[in-house]
Amino acid sequence: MDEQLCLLDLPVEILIRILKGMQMPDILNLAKVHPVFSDLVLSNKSVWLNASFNGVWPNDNNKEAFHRASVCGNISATIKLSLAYLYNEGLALDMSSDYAVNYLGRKVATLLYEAEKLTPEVAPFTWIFIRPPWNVHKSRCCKAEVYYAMCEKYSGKDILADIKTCLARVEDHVSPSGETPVELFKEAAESGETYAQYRLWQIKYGRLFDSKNTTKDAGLELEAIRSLRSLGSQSLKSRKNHEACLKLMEIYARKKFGGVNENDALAFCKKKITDFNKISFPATKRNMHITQSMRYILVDWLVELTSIKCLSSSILHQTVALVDKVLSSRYISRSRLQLVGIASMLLVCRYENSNILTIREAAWLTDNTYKYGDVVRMIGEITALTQGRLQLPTAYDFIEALGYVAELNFTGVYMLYYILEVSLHYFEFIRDFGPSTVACAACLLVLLTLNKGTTSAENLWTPLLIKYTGFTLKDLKECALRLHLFYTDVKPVLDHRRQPLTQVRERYSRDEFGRVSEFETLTHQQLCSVLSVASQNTKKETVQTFNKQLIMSPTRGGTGNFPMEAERHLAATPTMEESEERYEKKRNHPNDDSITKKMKV
Amino acid sequence: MPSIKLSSSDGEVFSVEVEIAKQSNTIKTMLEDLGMDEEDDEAVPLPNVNAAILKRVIQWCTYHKDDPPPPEDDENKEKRTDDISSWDADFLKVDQGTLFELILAANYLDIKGLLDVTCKTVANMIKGKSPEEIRKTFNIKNDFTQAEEDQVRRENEWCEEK
Repeated sequence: MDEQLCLLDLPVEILIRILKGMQMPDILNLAKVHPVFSDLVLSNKSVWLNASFNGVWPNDNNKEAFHRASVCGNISATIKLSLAYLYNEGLALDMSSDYAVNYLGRKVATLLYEAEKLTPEVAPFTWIFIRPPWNVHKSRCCKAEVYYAMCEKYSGKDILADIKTCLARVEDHVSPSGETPVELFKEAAESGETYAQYRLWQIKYGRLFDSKNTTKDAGLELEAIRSLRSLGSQSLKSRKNHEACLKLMEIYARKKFGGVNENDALAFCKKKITDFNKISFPATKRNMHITQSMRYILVDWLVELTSIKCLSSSILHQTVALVDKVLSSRYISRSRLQLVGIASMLLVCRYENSNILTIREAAWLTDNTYKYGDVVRMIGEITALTQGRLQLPTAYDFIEALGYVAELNFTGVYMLYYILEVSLHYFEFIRDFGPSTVACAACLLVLLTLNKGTTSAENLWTPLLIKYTGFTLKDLKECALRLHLFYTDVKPVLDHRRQPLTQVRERYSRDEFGRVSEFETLTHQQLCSVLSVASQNTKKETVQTFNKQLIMSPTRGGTGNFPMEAERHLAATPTMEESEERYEKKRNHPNDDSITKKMKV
Repeated sequence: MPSIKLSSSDGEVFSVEVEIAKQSNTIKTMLEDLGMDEEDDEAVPLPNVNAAILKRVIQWCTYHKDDPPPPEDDENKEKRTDDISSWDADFLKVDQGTLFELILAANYLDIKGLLDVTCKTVANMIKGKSPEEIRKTFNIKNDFTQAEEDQVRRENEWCEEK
């Protein structure tokens, strides 16, 4: 009988397979076991390409491993390393001189370039880390430093189109629609970068479809729709032309078909909406300790931030989608749930908004439960996890279009916003029905509510709506009935103070949203009757409470919610990126505490 | 149900349903390319797999015959090692020698699912252990000469975790 096989006897290709996806620290330990392994680890590129850097952040001891992995094309390592340098987190960096800062800027620029190059399937994203607002002392602002280094290093014609778009998007924030970004967008668009193509379209034709636009130019409009159609119909698996598609759906919804057959246009929208519904997160058992009521509490807090910071509903939806993405792919402890929430919001804001949520402000909004470094590490973790795909499709994306098709007035549109934000609290509900079904069911409910049950549902869910969305009334009934309960019967979750969490309801009871949450809703019986279904005895849901304090916030320590007056005041929370300040001062900004105290008053 | 015969390196012949055997890409290709007939009475020789291991491989393939085809390796997707089903985990409660032989057999027979799950099992045995613990687990002698060890330490110094 032969001697038993040993790990060392396995051929190299199998050892590499075993090492694939292994955590970086484990790989380093294995290298120290035997010369066979140390040779393998030190000489093999694919080991580093596929090494996992989950939960590991660069420090002075492991940074060479990060560099090695980055050179071998490891996306996570590249992203985390670039952020560690950019935000001065985890590494002891020399910032003593202009020269040193300039050197670092160039280093980050190279790393961001690599990150962009390694993710051709993903829309350009690295610009969000260096975009303005910049520190006024421009020469020493880290983000600006990186930006200028990028401009200098990557100025040639044959530079990666994604990087050109990144530079253009930064420049777009410096001087919106100015000459520099347009030139850069043109170059990127020529190389086929889809965002740049869309942005150019927007600059050229966008105003034609502004709802306030009164001038009519049929010829130009036709040209615009045609050109948008060619952008929107590029079949890209990666959904990089998402923005163009949505715009096209909206224009079609306004019955502007740009010379194309109406049926074809509607078929395009229907297909997109059907595709949307397939986007879902696999049910995983990974985070079983995070219950639905904990998620509810987190979402409620995110809604509160959305109101306080005057963010758009779109940002809220995308933030929640990003949180769900993280929860479905990584183990997250309870104590870090809020950190995932705030980091997701920060990332989405940078992508979408003209104002950003700064890292320091994000930490402050959690009552400094998390420190600057925690936030930086979490945004690194999320960006690495999604590989830069930070823009996720949500039910929100096409509700504007839906509003046009259903001919909703302002009240109706706000009501649609309201119902969809309520639905965000119920992950399993959205997962089971799919975002498109939920959005369309919400639209149906709005129509029924506005008509106060006087018109039968068949008349309200018009043939046009069926054609546009692909959903018949029958497809939507069950979803609508469940959704209706969420804003009528279901009791809101109580937090540790036994306070009902009703941020969405409060948000939409404000004048600016037409007080739609105070609108008289249909009763369950009325709804059943207009939908012609037998009234079901709805199970009374028990009130859920989570007894421990899950969310820390400067607003929740005291008696209740912010008075609305506080908003303006809050807008003046620490808005400067700490990394910028650190160029002038070392860590632990002395004013940290005083700022917090002031804000609490 | 049509079946074929497989002959192990030590001469034992196993009769297996074709659909089960076809989980092995190696056997599948042999059947298709070489025009080996299902009716053929001749056994397919598998010179690299002994009877004890082949028996286990067939057992695994029989249990997994209705599985959907394993997804293509997606370089961008995160690898997971904690998703081994409880049946597989029980199946792989074997001594290390057998485990490694199963890996070699899965590799030779090109059965992706089995290769994945066996490699994951080994990876899990390495996870979270110190070099000394890994040596103990796999019964590996410290073969580094002092000089080599110093060199590895030096080379690794750049990437040692705190």
